[in-house]
Amino acid sequence: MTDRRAAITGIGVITPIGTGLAEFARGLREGRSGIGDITNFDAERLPVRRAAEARDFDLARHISSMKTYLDRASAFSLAAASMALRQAAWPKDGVDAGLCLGSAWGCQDTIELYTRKLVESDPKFAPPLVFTHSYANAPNSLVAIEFALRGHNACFAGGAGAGADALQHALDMVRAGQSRRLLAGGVDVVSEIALRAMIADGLASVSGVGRPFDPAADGLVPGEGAGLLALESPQSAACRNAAVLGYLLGAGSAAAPDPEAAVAGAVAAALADAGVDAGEIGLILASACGIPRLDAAEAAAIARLFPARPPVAALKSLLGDPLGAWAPVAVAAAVASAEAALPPAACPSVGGPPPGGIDLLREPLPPGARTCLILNVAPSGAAAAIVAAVNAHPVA
Amino acid sequence: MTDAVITGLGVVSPLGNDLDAFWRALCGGQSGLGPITHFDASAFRNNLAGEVRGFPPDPADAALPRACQYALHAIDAAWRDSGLADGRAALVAATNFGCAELGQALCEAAIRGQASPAAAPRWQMDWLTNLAAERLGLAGPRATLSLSCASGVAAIGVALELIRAGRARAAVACGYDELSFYAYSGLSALRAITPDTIRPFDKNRKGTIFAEGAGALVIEDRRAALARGARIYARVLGHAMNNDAYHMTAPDKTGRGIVAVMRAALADARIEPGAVDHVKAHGTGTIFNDKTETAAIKEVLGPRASRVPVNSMKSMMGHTMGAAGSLETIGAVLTLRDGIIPPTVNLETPDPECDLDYVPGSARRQLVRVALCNSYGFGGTNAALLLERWEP
Repeated sequence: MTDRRAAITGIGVITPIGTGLAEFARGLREGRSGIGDITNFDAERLPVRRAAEARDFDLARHISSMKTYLDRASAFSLAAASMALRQAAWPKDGVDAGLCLGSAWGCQDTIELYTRKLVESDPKFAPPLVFTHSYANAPNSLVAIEFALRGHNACFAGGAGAGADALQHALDMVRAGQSRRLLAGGVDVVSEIALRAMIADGLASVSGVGRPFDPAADGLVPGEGAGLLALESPQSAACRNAAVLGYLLGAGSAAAPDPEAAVAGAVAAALADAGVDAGEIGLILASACGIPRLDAAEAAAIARLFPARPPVAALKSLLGDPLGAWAPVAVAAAVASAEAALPPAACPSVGGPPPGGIDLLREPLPPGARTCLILNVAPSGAAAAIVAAVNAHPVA
Repeated sequence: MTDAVITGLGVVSPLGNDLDAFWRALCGGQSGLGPITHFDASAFRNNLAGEVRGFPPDPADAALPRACQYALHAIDAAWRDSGLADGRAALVAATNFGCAELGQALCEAAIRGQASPAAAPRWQMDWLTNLAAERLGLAGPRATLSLSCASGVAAIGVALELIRAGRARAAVACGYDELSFYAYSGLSALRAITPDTIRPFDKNRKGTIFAEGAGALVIEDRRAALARGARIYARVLGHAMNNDAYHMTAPDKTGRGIVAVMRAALADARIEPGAVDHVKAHGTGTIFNDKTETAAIKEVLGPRASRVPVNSMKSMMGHTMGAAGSLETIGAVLTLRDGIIPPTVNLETPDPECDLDYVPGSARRQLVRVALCNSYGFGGTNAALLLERWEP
């Protein structure tokens, strides 16, 4: 039987609790919270003033080339790509590597900046450079240019599942042999425009406290970050004796008016795609973000589909909701959990009565190789699931 | 490998909002261009564009952003055209600028410190994807793409991959965009717009003319389509998507990326360049695109390129941005079905650097077995698709 896995040989992550896989793993171990007052823009006028921002981010630590202008989402993408590629150390052998990047919101700060120029000066003199950096695929193109990624290229734009969509598509392309090497993942940043849209949609938390699975929670805490995985076929990784951090085993997605049905559909598709039984799942990284109707549906689906009650981690309590970056960042968390115990702090105390039928992580999860399920449930009713196997392997 | 076919088509375009009108206009060499009415374009290089007319056909949709109206109409038309009733089908929607007018209004509210428009949640690009899928009652995978002006062909490519991977047996692929002050001002500042009219491959070409619309195609597993007795328009042989990795707006004058994407599509389709007997060009009418694309076609097809008819449908409907790859692919599908190649109009003065057979002036009757569809966009995005005439 053909190998349907994609090997992960590099990871680049930017999160509010640490940038780089090692620092992110440390942040998880220490149970750091990334949530605080918004500093990316002046949020005084808005009812939502707290978010999880990656405050220590410094692009100069990751790339040396000078940039005239960069959206924060583009800067995150460049840094995540740089880290993933350095770790993967793909040989310069003429193989064109590709890129699949997903983002719920893309470059909203730049769209706002360009609009400001249109409003405040003669549109005849609109700045073309700012305009080109406002495209949804601008981060994607900038990464391709910076790292000469001339292979398969796709940009998923929109939806909290954009990063999961990118991983699923990348897995399909590696399996089909269409791409030998691909960077895949997602990015999103805390921006005023995206936050305004989330507020108008009634999704963002006014209290600014991350309370996944809490029936009394008042919405998601906006988060930001980026995650890019260097993916290649297991044979390709083996041939060059690359260190393999883990494997993507399968992916699935589904949609339904009832979010529980959507989650169940996505999980069933992902397990079948991976050739894995529900009983083999050793850790679930839940999508739970503090929107009670979604979180309750997710908990109910997990309780129904996983009678063996694997531990469930709800990391958005610390990370906020990194939207398009969630799925790849969750894969990175799974990889980190193989190396060092994932502490109960990764799921802080739950305010309301805990959902029945699932086991939220309350004791440190011992390190070790395991098969993990990453869930992504979007407010739209679209759900995605990724199955990843992680190896016990140094992350630093 | 799973074999895929096209079983449904839907259009909203400057050349008409139903498939027959659209195809008659293309074959008749008609122009869909006219003065811009959606916004004040007096500050810009040109007032000419390809606007959609007669919208919304359903007054219930009048409150929706125009881009959404176009996409919903095209998706619904393609779905009905296919006769499908598979609630597990996938939906892939792709756009360059999305609901740009709404996005600008939201940004202006933020800049002025005012309340956001109530429609603000529709600004995220997946909003339309979800609405369209809900209207059709689809529970399958959904994806939203944005690959600038290669979006339309990219949507078909991703839909094809979902079917090949067994994630869906059918998928609707839609590319769409609305003409907006936001996008037009930027494209004008980039000097992409010609001061006169769009003249693809003409020596006196000075740029493109932008337009709007939506094109939707239903892609289906061949065996599933045959089993339900579907009417089949064409086969999808293969595709490829890549990036020049060169510059954000400037085309790579070596044509390296577009040569590679055509070759990758041929490899994916498992056919030789010699099998291609028609090229639906990207053909924007910009100085660099047309000569670079011509050179790349010659490099890929070899000496026989001069005998392969190449056309630019943008010469008639303008550059419909995110819809271009979809609407023009639909034109190529109908070329395969009917053996008629729509012309490149406004091509009056030959350019020595554009020396292929561009079907100038009027449509040509010619049986085509395999068509290559090219689409490129800013950011160095490239996509290519290979279609084959359906012979039952």
